[in-house]
Amino acid sequence: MKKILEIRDLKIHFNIAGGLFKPKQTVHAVDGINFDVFEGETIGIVGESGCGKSSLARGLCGLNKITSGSALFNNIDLATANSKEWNEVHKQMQFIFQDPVAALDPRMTVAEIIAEPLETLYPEMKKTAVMDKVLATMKLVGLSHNQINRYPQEFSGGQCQRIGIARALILEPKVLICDESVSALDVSIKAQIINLLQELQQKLKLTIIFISHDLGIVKHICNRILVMYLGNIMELGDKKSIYATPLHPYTQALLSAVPVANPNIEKNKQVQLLDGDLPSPLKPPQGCVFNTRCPQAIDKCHSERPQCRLINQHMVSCHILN
Amino acid sequence: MSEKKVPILDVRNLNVEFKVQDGIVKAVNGLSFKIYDGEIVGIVGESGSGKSQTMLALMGLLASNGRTYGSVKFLGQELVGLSTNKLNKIRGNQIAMIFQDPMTSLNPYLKISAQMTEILILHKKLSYKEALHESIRMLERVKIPDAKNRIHLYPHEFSGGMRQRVMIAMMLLTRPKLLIADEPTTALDVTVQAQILELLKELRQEFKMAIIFITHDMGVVANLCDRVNVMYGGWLMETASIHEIFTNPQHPYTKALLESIPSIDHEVEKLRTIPGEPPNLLQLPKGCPFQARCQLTSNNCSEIIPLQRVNPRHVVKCTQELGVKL
Repeated sequence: MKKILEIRDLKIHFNIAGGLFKPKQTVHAVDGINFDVFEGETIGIVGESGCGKSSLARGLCGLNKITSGSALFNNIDLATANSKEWNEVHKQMQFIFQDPVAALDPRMTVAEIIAEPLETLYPEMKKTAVMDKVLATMKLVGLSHNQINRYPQEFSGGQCQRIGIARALILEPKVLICDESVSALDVSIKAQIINLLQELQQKLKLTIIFISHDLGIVKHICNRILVMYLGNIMELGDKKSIYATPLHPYTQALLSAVPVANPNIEKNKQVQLLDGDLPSPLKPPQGCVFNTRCPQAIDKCHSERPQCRLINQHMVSCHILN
Repeated sequence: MSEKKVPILDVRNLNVEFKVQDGIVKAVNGLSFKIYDGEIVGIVGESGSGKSQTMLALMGLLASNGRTYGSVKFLGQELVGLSTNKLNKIRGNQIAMIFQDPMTSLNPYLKISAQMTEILILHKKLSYKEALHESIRMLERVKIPDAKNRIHLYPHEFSGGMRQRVMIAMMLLTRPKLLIADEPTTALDVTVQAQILELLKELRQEFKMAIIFITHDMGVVANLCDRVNVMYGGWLMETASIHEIFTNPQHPYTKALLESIPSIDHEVEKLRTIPGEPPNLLQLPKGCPFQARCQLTSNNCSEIIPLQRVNPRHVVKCTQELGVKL
């Protein structure tokens, strides 16, 4: 398989300005991660809120500035790309947001919204050609051509998300980044959008980076899973083996905490309850970031940050595993 | 649970309507259900199914353009039409409610201590000192570390999960008979959600209270509840024990809902979808609100829909032959 995105030691930090009596602080949103994305796969990024999954996604499409490290996409390093290079990146990498209604400009018609990326990045294109493309893309995502002059507020959440998907796909990108793209939708609508994404992926040979906190959906749609915690990768591996034999204590706790829609399983299952909450990303713990909540932490976990190692086909960062 | 038991909450033919510019929004339509002592009943449904409005109606907390019809009996006392004064003696005291976002239910200007003691001073006529002591004990019970000092903090100084614990502790102060929880774990992370669900299960035993748990997550229902009410378009579609609903769902909506959830315990090639969208509550169709999306729809669906009993604790509202008509 061909690598399409190569991420090395990527850091995204945010500075919080200090005051007269307040020192400057830094949020360590993404704190040195390494992974590759391969062509045609769906990679799921999971983790709790504050783990850095959205910061990472926004960093990959230029919405957040990358602090250090590199992210190679088509021989362009996203960390140092200039605006011309970003235009090239955006032609091939597009983003679908969480809140489908907020992501659309209420003063633009559906046609204007969907055509905008094309008009911005290919200004030489003829109006009629743009309109043909808009109609074709609307058909692709299941919107009817007579809805073309309506405004976003006339649509339901599920339909708005279809508009968002159309806007991303009109450039025929290779990579689609979905940041919690179905989380705001109701169950029955969610299933429609998930099926649509899967169909489109097969039809258009898309690579999808799918960010979600819903482990059920991630399992349904992804090939590989990346588990993040406080800006660090805890575990990365093939979907089947991550769900069947999670190695990292955090992955184990996370999976056991997901309620399953089956009372027989729920009644008999042993939930590994974690103590407390996520530590502040302003002051991530010394050593392994998970050590404050890890039931198996040893001395080494408090002093030394574990490196990602290959264990049983998983990339895991943990000291206690052999 | 034996049939002779008296329900602590008896809702009969409850209707909730909102008058808006474009007409009348029928949020809840002809809802009837009972809650027995000590049970946890889940209410599931998508947004707009009326699950939250039902609870707000029986607490008398509807928006000012809302109207409630029907009967809600709590321990034999009628709540619909009760004066605010009398209602205030019941809600917050015998019936307590926790909401999705604890930050919007807590007063950001007041310390937790002030907000907790107020309840005991008002409802139980305790002195401040006694109330404070009792509040600290309750915070300790919901596993807030260092409760003695933390009670003097403001809500923003707690994390999301901690705030929800504070809310739960606050609601338990008066030892209510019924706790209504409206999506209390939806805004929380899964590991924190697991902590809160575990806590609720323990507290139910200890305080011997009934819990109505509103959620859209079937997994949470399977984890926590004894019985489930499935709502759609303001209707109660199906009610059954937790085991029945997952192993033997009868209503086409319940079946479709269960099949459209991707789960971590099994895999499917393609998710089942329910075509179309939820009904517009301004213009509900005659008869069943699900008919436009139902695969088994027939002409009868736009008439009066019968209630049918599949087995003693399993009732379905559908025109198909599913059991004994009631």
